Amino acid sequence: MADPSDQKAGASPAEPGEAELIASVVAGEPAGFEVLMQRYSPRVFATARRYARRETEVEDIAQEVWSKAYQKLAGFRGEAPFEHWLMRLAVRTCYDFLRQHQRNREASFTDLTAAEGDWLERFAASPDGASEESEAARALVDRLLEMLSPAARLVITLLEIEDRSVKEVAQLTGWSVPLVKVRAFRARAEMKKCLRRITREHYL
Amino acid sequence: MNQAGLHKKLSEKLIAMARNHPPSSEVPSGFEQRTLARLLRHAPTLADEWGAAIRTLWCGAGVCAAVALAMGVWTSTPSAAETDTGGQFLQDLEQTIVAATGDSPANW
Repeated sequence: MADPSDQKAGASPAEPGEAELIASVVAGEPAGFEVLMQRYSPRVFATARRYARRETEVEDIAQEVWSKAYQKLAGFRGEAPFEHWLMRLAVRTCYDFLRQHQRNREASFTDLTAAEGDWLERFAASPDGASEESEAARALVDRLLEMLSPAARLVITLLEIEDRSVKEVAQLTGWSVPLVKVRAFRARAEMKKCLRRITREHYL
Repeated sequence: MNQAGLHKKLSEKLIAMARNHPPSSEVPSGFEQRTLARLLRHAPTLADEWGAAIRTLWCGAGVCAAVALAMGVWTSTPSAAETDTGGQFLQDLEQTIVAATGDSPANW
């Protein structure tokens, strides 16, 4: 079954093309920008929700992405698809958000909830048997990601969770390929350290 | 399974879980309209930016014209001391030219 967001992102032949919409916005007709937002906001929101949990923060990130896109649209050369250009803006805005909210990470180091602790103990007893569908397990993933530094979280999300290549990560983040590799290495080490910290009290 | 193996397994399981549960792509109702209204209220349009650039250039041109006019007036009305220096210079120049002409073989 096709993803509804994909259907929304693809323009039908009757709809104006991206290049026409962008040209109209640059010429001073903002109505075309609303069409671009309708097409690509689902992707922007999905990206923002990877890095922010509260809906108010997610909406702030999405607004920031579109605000940057509007300001920089005249500089869009059309060498790459608009969607790629927009996703680069989205990823960089999310990274800025993580860096600005770095102090909030301390909150993630507090004790696990009872449900999270129970899930870990079930995992320790039977690693293959612990359910992946439980709410506690998902909360544990969020907690682990929130414990990581901004760069580590970004790299783990893009490389491991979204399964992107190093080259793609470099393009999205604006970092060089060697820098992505170095940060990926450090991020994995950081994740191991955070896991040890989480599991210390649960005999793992 | 040893501790390192268990941690590796846990890490893989948590990553796989995050991969299998992508975040929602739902857009809050009216988001596009709200964002566009905010953009138009706060950010100048691209046409406005061009207008602002042209206005700045016109202001710059006015300032340049005023400076050029002031310099012209200043150089065309020299002070008394500058007049003396200028007169002396003219006399020296005339003497040099006349002397050169007087010494030329054509006058012999």
